[in-house]
Amino acid sequence: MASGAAATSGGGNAAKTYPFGLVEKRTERNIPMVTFISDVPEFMKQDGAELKNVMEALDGLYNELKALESRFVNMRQVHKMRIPEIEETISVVEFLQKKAEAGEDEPMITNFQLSASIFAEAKVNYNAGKVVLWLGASTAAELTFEEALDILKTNLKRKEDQLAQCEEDLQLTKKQVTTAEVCMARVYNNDVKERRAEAAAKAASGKAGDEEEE
Amino acid sequence: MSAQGRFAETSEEVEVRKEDQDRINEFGVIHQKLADLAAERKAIEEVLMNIEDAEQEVMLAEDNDSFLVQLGSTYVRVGEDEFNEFIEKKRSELDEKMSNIRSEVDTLDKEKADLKATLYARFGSTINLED
Repeated sequence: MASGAAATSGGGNAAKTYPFGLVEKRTERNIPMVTFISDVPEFMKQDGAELKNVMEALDGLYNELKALESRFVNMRQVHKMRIPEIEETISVVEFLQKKAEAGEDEPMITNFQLSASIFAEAKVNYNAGKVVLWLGASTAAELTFEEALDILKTNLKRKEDQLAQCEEDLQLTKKQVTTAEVCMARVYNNDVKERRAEAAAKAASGKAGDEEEE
Repeated sequence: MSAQGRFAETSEEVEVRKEDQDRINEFGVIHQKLADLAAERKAIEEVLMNIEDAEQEVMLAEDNDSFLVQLGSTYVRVGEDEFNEFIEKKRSELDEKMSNIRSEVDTLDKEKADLKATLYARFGSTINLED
């Protein structure tokens, strides 16, 4: 059971860069923060900022964000599955501990899984007050109930923190996705508007035969 | 899956300010969160139903005085009292989770409605906020 430290490297590839100042910065975990364009016509006056180029750049950014989003969703899933596992382990230890404290002397009878669909019965003596806890890295250690619970609860806390962090990153990413989407729509709309204005100007200046594009 | 405001292609001139963008982003996040919470809620409801079924079965099984309860990946033999204790504990944990989810959903629903009202007031029919 690997401890599953959150891989934060971003897959080893260097951070992509985008033209026209589309990304203002990146967070620690490499989430590109999308610049909010307050004035689209002004933005489009930048060197080389033609509709095609800007849309291409935005598209690339959007794809990176979507990939990031799905990575965070997967990571969250992994954390979410791990947490109940630890919780269950804790409840088993607590169950034994409670029995030991109550001073019961009947052994706990349990059916444990030998392999798929085969169970065997075991009598568990809890009065020794110890369990053997798998620590990972091919190591298990015999610990008292308290020690075991201590370790398990620390692990649980860490997983919960990781989940919260992941959740936060996911939300931040989602916001960037939305910003990029709105940005695309606005750049596109701005273009439509400009073409209309041009066409109208042409029509007004007497060149009536000109057709309006799109 | 995108729950964002999309602007109609023929958007009338309503300027999108930074604060509008922030609201749209927030709306998207809340929308997603509510969907996640709904799924979580459903999962918990299922477990609660299972618990109830188990309880009834145990009550009906008068001849048996011990039951196998799944604990982690093993089954443990417990007496009826122990079983009930086990069930009660589980139930109260789930009930607590459930009421947390409920209150979170209430708060988010309200926030979402507020954002929606604000955004529609500003952008009217040029924005489309998914439900």
